[in-house]
Amino acid sequence: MRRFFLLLIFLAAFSARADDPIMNMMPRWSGGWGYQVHYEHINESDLLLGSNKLVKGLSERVNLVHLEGVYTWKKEFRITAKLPYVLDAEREMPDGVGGKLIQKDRGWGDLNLGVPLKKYFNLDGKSGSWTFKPMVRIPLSNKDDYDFYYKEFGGGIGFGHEFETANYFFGIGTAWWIFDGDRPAEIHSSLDFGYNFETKNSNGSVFWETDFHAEDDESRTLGSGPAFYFNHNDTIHSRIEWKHDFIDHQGIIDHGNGNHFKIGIGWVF
Amino acid sequence: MELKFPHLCLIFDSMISRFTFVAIATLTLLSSFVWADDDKEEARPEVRLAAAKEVLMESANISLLYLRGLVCPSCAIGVRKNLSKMEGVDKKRFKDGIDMNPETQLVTVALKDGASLDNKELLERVEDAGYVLVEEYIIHDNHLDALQFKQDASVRIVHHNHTHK
Repeated sequence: MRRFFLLLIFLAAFSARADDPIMNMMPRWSGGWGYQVHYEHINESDLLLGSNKLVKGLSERVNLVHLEGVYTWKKEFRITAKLPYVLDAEREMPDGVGGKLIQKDRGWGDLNLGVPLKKYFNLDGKSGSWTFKPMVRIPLSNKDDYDFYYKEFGGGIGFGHEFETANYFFGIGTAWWIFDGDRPAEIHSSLDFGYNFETKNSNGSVFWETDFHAEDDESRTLGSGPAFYFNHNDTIHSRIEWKHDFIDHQGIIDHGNGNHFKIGIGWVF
Repeated sequence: MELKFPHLCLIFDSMISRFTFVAIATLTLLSSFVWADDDKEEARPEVRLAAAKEVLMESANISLLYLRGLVCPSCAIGVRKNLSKMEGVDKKRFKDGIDMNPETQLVTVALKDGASLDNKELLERVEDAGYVLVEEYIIHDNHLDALQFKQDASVRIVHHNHTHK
């Protein structure tokens, strides 16, 4: 079991994409800018402690919108901003007398500002980049009984490496976060493989993406699933993805075993 | 407001964190060797030169460029944006006057009658878009010649005799 877990960590760490707007790959040109809107639905079906279901039938459902923007000052230097808005979050918790307590959340999440610094390389038939990204997270509202977002100041650094050929994409990345408060430190890692295709007037990609998330309270989650990206006309880009939590271990009582669905559209100029 | 970050010291204390860091560092280095498409047929010079000759034989009033690393059409949108703004580009042809082939890394620029592109501006616009302008191809006496670009925008003419079947 230990060997299996180490293998999973290893595989998860093997990936790590910077996860930037727009669709992570643009704008690569100086003076380029863009914005995108993502709708995300999360459904976590179980209340977990460790890997065990603490109480059956207590779930968490979240609908949220992500507003994201990017400006490329020079091709090596970008500024990104991500602002989530929770449309509707609802979780079921045990009320202590055999029933369930329903809690709800709504409103702005934490503002995430990043400054990805990129070093591009161009080889014959292959192009890619190395990324170093300092980040800060700024809470926009006060804490409550149930907060889907942390609502704590945080600082993070991210590293990424990605490259592609005419047909294939490969990306790895990781980010470390610490917070000013009770929230435990976090590590996010990702591993993405993609196949690029062309249509008559445009292009797109099909990905298989794996994300690993670990917290300092022994929580760890491994999610994986497909994603589809399409370039409509160089200005408008869309992306759809789904991920399932194949491994979910919660260090404190929390919901898990989730499915994540995300659909987004972006504009780049 | 005081920022405490009480978990700072725990980042590298955790076994998971340390192992993840080592794994990522190792695999990031190894990843450079994955899918090194140097042997990919389309990326071979003789294939690119054959494709260049074919394009030049079929089309008139074009400038045909080899941009090293141009393999991702979405990443290279900046190439189209930058080059289509140049004086002399016929934006009615292709897509805004620019056709990009990620398989051969060739970029075809449609030109208006009698127009030509300024080498210095061309180099700067390609570099600004994140790529490297290596050569421009021309047909001379039914032979393919390449104008190799240097950093100062001067060019060196190279005669190519490669053929590819």
